[in-house]
Amino acid sequence: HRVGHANVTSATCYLRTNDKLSIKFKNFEIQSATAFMDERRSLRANRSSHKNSLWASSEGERTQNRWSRDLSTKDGRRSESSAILNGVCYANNVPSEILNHIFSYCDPFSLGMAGQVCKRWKTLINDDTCWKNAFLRYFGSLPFRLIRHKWKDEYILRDELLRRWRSEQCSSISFDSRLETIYDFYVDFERSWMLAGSVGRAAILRCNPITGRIIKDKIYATRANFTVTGANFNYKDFLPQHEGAVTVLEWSRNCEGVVLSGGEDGYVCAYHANFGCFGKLYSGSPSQIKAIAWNPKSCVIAGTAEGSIHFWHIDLTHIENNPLQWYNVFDAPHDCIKGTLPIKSLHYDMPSNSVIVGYEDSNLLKIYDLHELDCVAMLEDGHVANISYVEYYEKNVTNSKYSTETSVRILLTGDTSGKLCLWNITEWDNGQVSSIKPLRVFVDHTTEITAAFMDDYKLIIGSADGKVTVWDQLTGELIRQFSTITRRSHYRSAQARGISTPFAIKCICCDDERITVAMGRTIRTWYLTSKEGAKKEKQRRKKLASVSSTSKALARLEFQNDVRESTQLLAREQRDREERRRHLERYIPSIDFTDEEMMQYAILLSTTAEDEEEQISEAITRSLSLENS
Amino acid sequence: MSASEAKKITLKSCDDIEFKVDIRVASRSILLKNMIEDVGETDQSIPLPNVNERVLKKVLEWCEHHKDDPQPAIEDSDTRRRNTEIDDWNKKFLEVEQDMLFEIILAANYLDIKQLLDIGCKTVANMIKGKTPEQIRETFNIQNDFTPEEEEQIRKENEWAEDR
Repeated sequence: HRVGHANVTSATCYLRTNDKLSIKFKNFEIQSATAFMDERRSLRANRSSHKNSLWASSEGERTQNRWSRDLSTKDGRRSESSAILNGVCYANNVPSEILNHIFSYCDPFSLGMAGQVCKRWKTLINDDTCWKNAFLRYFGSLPFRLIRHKWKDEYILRDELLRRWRSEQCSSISFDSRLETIYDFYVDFERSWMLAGSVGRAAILRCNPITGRIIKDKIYATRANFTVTGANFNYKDFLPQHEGAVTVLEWSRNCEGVVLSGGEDGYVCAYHANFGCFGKLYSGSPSQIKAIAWNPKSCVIAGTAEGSIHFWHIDLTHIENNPLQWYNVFDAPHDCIKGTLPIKSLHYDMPSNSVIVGYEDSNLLKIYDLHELDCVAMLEDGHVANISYVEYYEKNVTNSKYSTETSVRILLTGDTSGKLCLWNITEWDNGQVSSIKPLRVFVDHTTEITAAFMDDYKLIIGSADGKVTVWDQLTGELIRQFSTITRRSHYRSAQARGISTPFAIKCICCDDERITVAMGRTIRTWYLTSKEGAKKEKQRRKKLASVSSTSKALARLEFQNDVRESTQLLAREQRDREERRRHLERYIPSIDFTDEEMMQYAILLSTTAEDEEEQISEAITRSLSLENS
Repeated sequence: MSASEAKKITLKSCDDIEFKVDIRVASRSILLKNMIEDVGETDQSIPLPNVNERVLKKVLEWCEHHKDDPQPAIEDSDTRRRNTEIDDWNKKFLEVEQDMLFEIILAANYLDIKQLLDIGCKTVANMIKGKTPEQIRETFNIQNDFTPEEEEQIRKENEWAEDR
């Protein structure tokens, strides 16, 4: 019977695969198809008759099952059929294809458990494609980047992380940075420190995002603007190169020694971190530079308030290495794209050698090819309101199977109505002007999007009203929402200072367990407070304590103080000694002179004195004679 | 199309019971739909050697209820999303004994009725959900064919799942 059954199911599979491979039934005559089926019919009949006899014998047990089923419904679990029908296992009588289909609906935990049921299930679930299918079914799309090498691990990890962010308790800490509105920050979660910068105070603050402790001796500021001057000054002044204010600053991770600035005067200046300004690029008109994008190896692109985009094809990387090879002023841009709308943002996309352009007060997003100097693609059907925020992400995807590396490029754009779109700009079909549709749209905010952050599995959006939302990047599902309740007095005082949106989320940074945002002058961190998280945090702190922690920092500080004191003492002693020596020298010209030499010295002194007298009298007589004549 | 809507075809189950059904109802099955398209109108009954009367009746009940649903687009990303929620009608429809459930799944697979196959598989997946291996074995009456050593080994491999 078993063999017969296996034949039937394989025949089913055979038909189905035929169908799937679209060698459809179309090509078959129906008669031949039925003839083919007829062959199997006898086997099938065999089976069903067997089944029928089975059926009859198990009638009594079935009532019992119904009873147990009712019990399980009472438990609050969904009622389900059970298989204690004469010991027949129906689940394992279906082809593997169907079992795989069933497994694709399972969550990671269930799959893990199902893999321990029997040998057949284990073999099926040990296949990574089973996990891939389940992943696809759950998330709806493949990730932009694999965090782990195996789909099993990837699915477990992502599910775990999302589950935690969705359901786990979160604590938050917020503290006043004592700066003006924070403009930008850098967070290092691993080592628990961050830098927050404010334009208003012209200062950069170093603090701990987890504890909120501001490290007082690590405030970097210009002397003129800030009263709490830190002990550690480490900055460099560059001579002013622009006529008027600097409007843009750009820096690239690939070329760390070079910074570009754009000014009101239409110039772009390039600075070397150690040697200052080495090159000036003039856009050709005194129109304000609104945005700069650059690729250190090939080009510098600047967008102006007039709406034109200028290109210079220069390689800045060798300047980083040979800073003494100075550049001259480039008068005219090598290429130019004229436009009418003022530019708001520029992002260079290296793999396609194109630039993504956003415009001021508009919902337009265009991609220009730098070879053709023409618009090659439009990002359409995303925004209705004006775009307020554009962020470009590049992620390298390593395909472990072919060990090739491709990059996936994602563009995040937020608008003033609170809508955020995620675009995949990795590839678009080559048309005249192709149109790119948003990959995902996130609509939950009601005010302007001011910041967004994306990591491997989640997306965080912050808006002008201080609302922060966390999303599952792949499914586009809202995972969590944070409200930022702030004191009304803060709000009023901020408004009095002329800041219209004091709680706008200016910057966001996160890791697997923490999210840090800067809003107005406050820095706020949310962190998961699960047992697991707490355990990890404890371990991390312990590890940190042994390597470098507050105690070590304190010790270093003490040591530095000691050194400073002793050097001061030394200097004072030296100064005293010097003074005493000079004092002695006035009376005893030299210590080693013999009497004779001493005598000669005295004569020398007196003669010089006489000489002086003579010179004076001579001068007087000369002046008198001059008067007489 | 409107003329053919009222047309009926005859299906014959493996135990030689004939069913007269609307073409529109039968077209929920891609297999039958393609057959009808190829052959055109026929008075001959179409034999379905893999489906018995009991199951065919159930499947046709499902097709009847879903005859007006739009055909799902293949590989549509939205339908691919895991959705373990099953609507009430389908839930009630699949509250059957386990042999019937798997028979329906097999029939749906054979007749190529994707939606029915999907909800069938979802139902089974929900039965697996949240159970220990032993409970799963009990539910589906599966023989534990591991040796104790193997079992220990597998349990070790799956420790990540246990402390949840």
